[in-house]
Amino acid sequence: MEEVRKIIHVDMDAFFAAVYIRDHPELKGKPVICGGPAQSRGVVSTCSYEARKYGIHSAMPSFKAHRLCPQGIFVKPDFAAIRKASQQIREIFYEYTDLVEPVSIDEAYLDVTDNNLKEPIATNIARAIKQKIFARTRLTASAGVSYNKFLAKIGSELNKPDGLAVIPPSRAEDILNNLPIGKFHGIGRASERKMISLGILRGKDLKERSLNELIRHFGKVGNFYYHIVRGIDQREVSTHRTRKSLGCEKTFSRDISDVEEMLEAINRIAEKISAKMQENKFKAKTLTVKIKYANFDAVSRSKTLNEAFNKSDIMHHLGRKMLLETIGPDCKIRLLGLSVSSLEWQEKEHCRQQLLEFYLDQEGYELED
Amino acid sequence: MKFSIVKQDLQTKIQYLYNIVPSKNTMPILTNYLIEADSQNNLLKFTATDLEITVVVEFEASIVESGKTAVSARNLNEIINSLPDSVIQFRQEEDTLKIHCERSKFSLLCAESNQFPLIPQKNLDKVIEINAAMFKKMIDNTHFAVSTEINRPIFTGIYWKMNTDSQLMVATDGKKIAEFQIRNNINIQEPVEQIIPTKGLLFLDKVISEDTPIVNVLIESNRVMFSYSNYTIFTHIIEGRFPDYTKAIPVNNTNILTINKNALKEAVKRVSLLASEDTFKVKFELADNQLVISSAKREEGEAVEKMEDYTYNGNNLTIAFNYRYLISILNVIESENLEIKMGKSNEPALFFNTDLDESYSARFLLMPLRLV
Repeated sequence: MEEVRKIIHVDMDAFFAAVYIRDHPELKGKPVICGGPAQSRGVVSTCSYEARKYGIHSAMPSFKAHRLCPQGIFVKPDFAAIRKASQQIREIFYEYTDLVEPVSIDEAYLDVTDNNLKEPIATNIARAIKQKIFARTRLTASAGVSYNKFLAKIGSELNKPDGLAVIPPSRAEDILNNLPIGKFHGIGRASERKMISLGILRGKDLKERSLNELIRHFGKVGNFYYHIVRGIDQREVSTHRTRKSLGCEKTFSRDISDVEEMLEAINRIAEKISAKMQENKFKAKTLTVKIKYANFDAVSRSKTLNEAFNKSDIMHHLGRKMLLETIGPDCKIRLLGLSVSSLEWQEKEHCRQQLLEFYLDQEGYELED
Repeated sequence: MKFSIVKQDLQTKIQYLYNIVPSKNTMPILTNYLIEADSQNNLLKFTATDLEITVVVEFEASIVESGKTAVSARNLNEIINSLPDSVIQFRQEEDTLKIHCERSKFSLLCAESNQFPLIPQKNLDKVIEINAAMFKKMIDNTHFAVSTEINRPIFTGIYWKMNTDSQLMVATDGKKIAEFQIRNNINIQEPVEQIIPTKGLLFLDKVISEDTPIVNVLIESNRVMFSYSNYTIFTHIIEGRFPDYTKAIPVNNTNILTINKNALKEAVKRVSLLASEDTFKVKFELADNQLVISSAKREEGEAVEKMEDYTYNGNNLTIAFNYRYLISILNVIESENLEIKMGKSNEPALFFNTDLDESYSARFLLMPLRLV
C-alpha cells in the first residue's frame, strides 16, 4: 500500500491588510480595506476581518465596499513589506521541507511526509510553522493538515483566522458531505450555479451522482469532481510548474456599449497574445473569452478547435463570434479578456524544448493593459 | 603624443579590448579606442566603451611626449596584429596617428578625443578583495546558461550574490540553470546581490590569470567597478530582481544515473550526428538494465548507442534533451563521473559533479524536450 501523505496548506490571514495594520498599529481593530481607492474603478484585494463583517470580500469593487462600510479605511497595499513578509514565510517553509509549492504570495502547500526534522506528526510541524511565522513577522497564518492537497486547503479555511485544523481520513467524509458545493476545489461560480440547478448543494449531493452523470454535465472535469468528493486527490505538491495557459485582459476606463469598440479591444488583445505565442513558439487549441459586465457579472465562453492556432486573426474571429453570441443588445461592458489554453508546442515532431515557468513570467514588457 | 612599445607587449595587453567596442555603430566615436599617454609616469592607457561597459587598460611604455587621441579600434587592432615582433613607434601629428614598425608605416586619421564619453575614475578606497581564480571559476561555470533574449533583460546577465562566507553565481535562459557556489570569506558587512551583464564578466574571465590573485570590486548604486591587474572594468548593473529560481529546482528526483563524463559526452556527440535539426533531440531510454541513447532525423536515418559502465537507480524512464544544451552542461562538469538526477520524462533533470573540491558546489538544471 502506498504511504499516506502528510500535506499542510498554509494560508496567511488577510495578508495584505494584516501587513498594513502591523505597520500602522493605530489601525488595529478597524475595518481596513486594501486595494483600489473607494471612488475608483478598482477592486478590494484584501480586507481586515473587521471589514469582512460588513460583507466585504476580495475582488469586490471598491465603491461597493465603500457603500457597505463608509467608515472603512481604504489603503494601498505596501508591496515592499508584503514581499518581505512573503519571503520570510517561505524561508520558514523550507526549514521543514523542500517540497513546497507556493500557490501565491501568501499561500503554499507543503508535503511533510518526509521532512527535515523527521517529525512524524504533521500537526506539530503546522503548529511550529504558525508560531515561527508569528515570531518572525508578527502576522498570523491558518494551516490545514491532511492527506491530500484539497483537504489540507479546506482545513486551513475551517478555523480562520489563526486557525489550525487537522482532517484525518476518519473526519474527511463528514466534512466533505457537509461542505457547500462552491467550496470544492475547481468549482467556480459558474459551475456552482450549474451544480445548484442540478440540485447539488453540498458534498453529499455530489456524492450521489454517478461518474457518468458528472462527465455528461461537466465534461472531463466531472471525473475530478467525482473523486474529490470522495477525498481522493492525487495531485502532488509540485515545486515546479510549466505554463498551461496564457491570457490578457483589458479593463476599460469607462463601461462601453459600442460593439465596434469591443471588437477593437478583442483585436488588440488577440494581437498581443499572438505575438507572445509566436515568440515562445507555441500554439493553442482553446480560446476563452471573458466578459465582465458593468454590474460585475462575469461570464466566459470557450471554443476548442481541432487544429492548434497562434494567429491573431483566428483568435479575433473566434473571439468576435463568441462575444456577439454572448452579449445582449445595449449591454455595458467593463472588462474583456482572452486566454488560450490546451497549448501545443510548435516544433516539428511535436517535440519541444520546455521552459521554466519563472522565466516565462519574467516578461520584459507587460502583457496586461 | 609620442611613445614606443614592444609589439607583443601591446598586443597581449589590448587583445581582448576589441570585444568591448560595439559592433552596432550607433555612436561613431565608440568605434575608437581612446589612447592616453602620460610621460611623467610612463603610463599608456587604452579605453574602449559601449556605454554600458567601459574597459580601461593601463600599462607601461616608453613615453616621450604626453597626449591623448582616439583612433579606429578595428584599424589599430588589425595593424598591430599584422606587424612583426618588434618595437612599434607611435607619434601623433595634428589629426593623424603615425605608426612605424621596422619597414612599415601607417598613418591613421584620429577622431575628436574630447567626444569620447567621460570615463569614471578608478577608485580603490572601498574595494572588496575577491579571489580571482575562484571568481573566474564561477563565471566559467555559469555564463553558458545566460539568456540572449533582450526582452527579458535580467536573464541576459549573471546573478551574483556575495555573502560574508560564500559567493554564488546563477544564470538561466529558461531551458537550463547553472548555479555555482564557492565558500570563502569576503570582507563585507552584509550580503550584496546584483545582476551583472555577461559581457563585462566575460572580459574579466579572459584576462584573469595566475599572475594576479586578487580582483578588487567596488559596488556603487548602478555600477560595479572591477580592478584587476592592468585592467579596470566599469559595468552597469541590470535593474530588476532575479526571481527565486530555486523553486524550479526539483528536490525529489529519484531516478539517478551515474556515468563517466567523457564516455557520455562522446556518445552524445556521436548520436547527435543524426539528431533533428529542429529540435536537436537525443533520447535517453533507461529500461531493463540498459541505457540507450538515440536520435533520428527524418528521411536521413538514425543513430543508437548502448552505454556500458554506468549505474542507475530508478524507474524505467525515457527522456529527451537538446544535445547542444546537454553538451554545454557536460563541458563544465569537472569530475570524472557525473550524476544525473531525473524525475519524470517531462520534468527538469539535475546534473552534478560526483567529486568536487569541497569549497565549491555546483548544480545544473536542464529542461527536457517534451516527448509525444
